Amino acid sequence: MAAAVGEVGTLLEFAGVSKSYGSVRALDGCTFTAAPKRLVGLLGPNGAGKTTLMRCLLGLVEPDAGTLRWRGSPVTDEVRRRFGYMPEERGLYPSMPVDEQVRYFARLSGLSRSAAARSARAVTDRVGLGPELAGRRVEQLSHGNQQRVQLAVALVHEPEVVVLDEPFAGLDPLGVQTLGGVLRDLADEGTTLLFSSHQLDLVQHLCQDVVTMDRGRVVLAGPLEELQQATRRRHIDVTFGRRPAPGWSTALPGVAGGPAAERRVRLTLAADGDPATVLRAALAAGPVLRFALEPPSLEEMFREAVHR
Amino acid sequence: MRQHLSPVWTIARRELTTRARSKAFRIASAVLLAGIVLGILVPAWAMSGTARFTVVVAGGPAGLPAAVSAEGAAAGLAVTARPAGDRAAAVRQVETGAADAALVAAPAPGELVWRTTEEARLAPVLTAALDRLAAARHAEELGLTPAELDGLLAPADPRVTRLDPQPDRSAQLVIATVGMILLFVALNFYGSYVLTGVVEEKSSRVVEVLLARVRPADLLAGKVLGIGILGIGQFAVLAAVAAVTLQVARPPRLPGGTVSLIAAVVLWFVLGYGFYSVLYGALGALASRAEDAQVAAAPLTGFLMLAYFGAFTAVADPARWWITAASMFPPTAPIYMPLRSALTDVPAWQTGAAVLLMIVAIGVLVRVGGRLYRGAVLHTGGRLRIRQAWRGAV
Repeated sequence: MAAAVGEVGTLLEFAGVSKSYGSVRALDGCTFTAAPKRLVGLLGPNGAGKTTLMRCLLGLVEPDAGTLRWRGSPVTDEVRRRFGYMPEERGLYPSMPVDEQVRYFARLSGLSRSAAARSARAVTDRVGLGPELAGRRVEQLSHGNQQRVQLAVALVHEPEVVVLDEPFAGLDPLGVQTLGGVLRDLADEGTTLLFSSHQLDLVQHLCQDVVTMDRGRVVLAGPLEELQQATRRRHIDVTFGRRPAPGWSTALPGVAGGPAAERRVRLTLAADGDPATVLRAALAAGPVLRFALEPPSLEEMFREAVHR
Repeated sequence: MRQHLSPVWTIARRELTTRARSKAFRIASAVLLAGIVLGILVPAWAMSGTARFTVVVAGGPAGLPAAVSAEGAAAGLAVTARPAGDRAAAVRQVETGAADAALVAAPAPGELVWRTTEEARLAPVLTAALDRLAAARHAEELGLTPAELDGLLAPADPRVTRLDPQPDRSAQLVIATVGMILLFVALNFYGSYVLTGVVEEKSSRVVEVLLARVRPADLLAGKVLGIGILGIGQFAVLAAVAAVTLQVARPPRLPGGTVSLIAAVVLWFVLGYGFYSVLYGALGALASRAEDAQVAAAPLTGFLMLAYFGAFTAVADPARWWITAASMFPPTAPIYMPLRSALTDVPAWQTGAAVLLMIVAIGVLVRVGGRLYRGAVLHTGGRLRIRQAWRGAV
């Protein structure tokens, strides 16, 4: 279940992490790893336990069982000083000016006064907050800009592990692009990044690794490409030069989808299906312009993993 | 140690500066300052400002103006008396307002001239001067020497015997009552600062961002410390301004023990604030919204209120057994102990025991309140019960 990309001594490891609230099992033996320089997308339906998992990592929730390790040592309060967190429920002091607020959180993370000031300027610039907004109170800013302040707060102490709960929620396409760019850059600089999202196309586009949770359990984890390779389900996209003979694909074993009489068709090939059989049938049905074997989309893998 | 202390101090500084800069705090401080300065200066002016009088004297012996001034001084008034040529000249000065009154010595029995009506403090002085003039005239007719006349008019000056002498505690009573009211107001005021501060952080969700960086106990400690410093600072400024204003307006004769009483009020403010602010913080964490906060804190506010009104009974009769008990019981000690110290002689062991109990109680409360805070502060959606918060803490 664990993804083993990157050297063991550099990983963020979750091992058997469990947490119950009364009779509700919020986390049930969660095990996976996250590597630096890679974006890890945390997926799962509402109530799957994503937020609880992140809160455990940040020390907001104490797990009942299991261990969290980073670079081979247990995650303690001291280690967490190098973590940055952006919660789902955005929270800032509404009447505090932007620059003061970012500096304040930098100070809370242990930065000296001058380092906090320097870092706050750099990070507000990085997330795309113009200098003209620095003195404004947070409540005077637009939603998107408040989100940028929140991101600046999460990054101001130059954390080596960054955890973001639904960072893209409520952002316009431009905001999504900026945030995606910032996260990509951070990963390139060697940061370990873990973020949750419901926008699967976005995760597929951005992330190298995914962790899918359902009912408190990790049901699918690893590098996206490997997971796609590993699944035996495939798509076959066929394009004919003219309408093919109707029903050409219906009798093929392990093949579903259609309508098979269209010029362009997408078929789903189950585990027991053979692409070569399909290709032969297609060539017999008409002139084939394109025949492509595609891995399943993240969304399909997600649906399959959570059985919904 | 440094790494443990520094977030507490950073949090305390933010509490201190953002609240000190807030408009509400500035206005409240300005109103309090103005109230104190005016409260001292206005009565002082009212008492000293009109105690100066000018009187014109027409007729009588040459020493009469001086005698009028002396009579005024004996009554505690500054009376400037100057001679006028005749009655008409004297009346004119009263008419124009150059003099407050005219004293016309002759013909007997003399005449007092006022512009509108008699001035209540000056009239007896002038009447007494005329009395003396009349007495001197009669003595002359009887052939008495001035020395014999003085003997005749000398006051009796009796001996005074106090069977059960008691020190005068009226000044202490005033100071104790004022101190008690201040303590009650301050505990409520700064306690509610902590309460609303905790709820605001909770309702704006910023608390999750904070707790990803600092421990709940540090967050609560920083908040309590910052607001506490602000409160004591505000108190100190107000007290200093009051002291300076008093010194300028009319140096008071402070009763013995005033300084130690003020010290007691400050000490019990610090202890009481430590006790109640942690409680207010823990109760604030149970609420999710500002409206719920008042409900969550209602038992505490009600208890303080009850203790406060009970204290007025203590002013009337501070020796009752339950007042002794209340002055030792940590939740009520901050209000009752300074009051008792002012009104009676409290045995040193009782004061010591009360302070010790209070410190122990604060220690226990920091743990209990800290745990409630920790268990409740991340819980959103509705008001938590104390038991839920206790179990939710880890």
